[in-house]
Amino acid sequence: MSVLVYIENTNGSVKKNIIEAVSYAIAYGAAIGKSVIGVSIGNVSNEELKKVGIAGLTKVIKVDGYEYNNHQITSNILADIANSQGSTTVIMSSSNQGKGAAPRLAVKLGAGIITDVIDAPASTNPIVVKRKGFSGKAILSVSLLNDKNVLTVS
Amino acid sequence: MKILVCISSVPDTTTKITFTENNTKFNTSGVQFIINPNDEFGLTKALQIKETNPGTTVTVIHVGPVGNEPVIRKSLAIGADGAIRIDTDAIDAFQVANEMAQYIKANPFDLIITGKESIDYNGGMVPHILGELLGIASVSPCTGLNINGTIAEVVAVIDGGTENLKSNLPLVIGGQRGLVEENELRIPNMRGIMQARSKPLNVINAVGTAASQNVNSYESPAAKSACKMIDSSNIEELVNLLQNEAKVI
Repeated sequence: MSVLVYIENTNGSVKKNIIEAVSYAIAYGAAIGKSVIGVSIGNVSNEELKKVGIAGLTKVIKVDGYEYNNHQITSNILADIANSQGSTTVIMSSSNQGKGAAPRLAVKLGAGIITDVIDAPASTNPIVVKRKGFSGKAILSVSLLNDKNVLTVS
Repeated sequence: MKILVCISSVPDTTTKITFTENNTKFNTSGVQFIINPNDEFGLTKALQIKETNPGTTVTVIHVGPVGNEPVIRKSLAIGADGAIRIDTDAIDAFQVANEMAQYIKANPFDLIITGKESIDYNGGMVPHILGELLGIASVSPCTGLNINGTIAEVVAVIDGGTENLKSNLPLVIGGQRGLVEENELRIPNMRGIMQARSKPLNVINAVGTAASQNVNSYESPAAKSACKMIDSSNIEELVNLLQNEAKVI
């Protein structure tokens, strides 16, 4: 059992917003006592990956040679890895890449999904998190009812 | 070509958002509901495609109770040819997408247009969940669309810019401003309103998709604190405030 975090990139460069997703995944993994595995898709150097604090991850799985910005490919790869690694939670960034692939991934995994999470989970079983709604006019406390979860964090 | 436009009913953009029942429900009292603006951009684009592609039909679909029918009727008044209402409350993105997907599987469309997100729950998930459930491509957010035979030429919003793509139909699009501009949106005229009364609005039963999430409570965001002006030469004061008051360094 593990937590998966998607380390997205643009043309091989890891984006700064991934630091938040990785940090969130590491904190969440510690809270539930699970290892945290990073996944990188596309041609990303080890030096780039080190920029996002992967030292806290159990391991990073690099999948080279695929388009990094194709939601269908990304969600296929992440679903395969999540299933093979026994991951019950996948954490992604609330970027266009993350929010494009996450819904497809949730369907493939039969997982619940919450996008634009803005706070650490108030509870981990079931997972309860806060997200913005009503175009920023409200903050919602939302719980997921599935055993598997996909979160995008902003 | 058959185009399906997914419509959601959302609070008017000027609505003051309040909550009831100990902050566990959105307070709908006195709220005017409208077509989700991102959906309306998509509906307008669908009507423009219809006008330049003879034989095209535009159908709108909505997941919601009978009380939401005014927004469906408005869609018909604007120019949609027919409407489907799936008779159940919309609970979450997966439930809504799955209810629509089951209908679409039985009644295929060439192009399915949703908004990139609704302006109430802002999940942004429905276009891609629909695409996954239907086994077809999805592009969202999308700011440009041109149909050339069986090929859709789309402008997708990506991180840091846009990307021009081509995709075979069928395809799911998540529209937003840019798909059409605000001055292209259509206001229903009296003739359209009268015609809408006789256009088909078919109500079908939901397949009963279970919810995958629950909103436990709502709260209003904290009000922004007052702005403090500091003289540009007073760096010590700035550092002091950031360190001891804002506690960010």
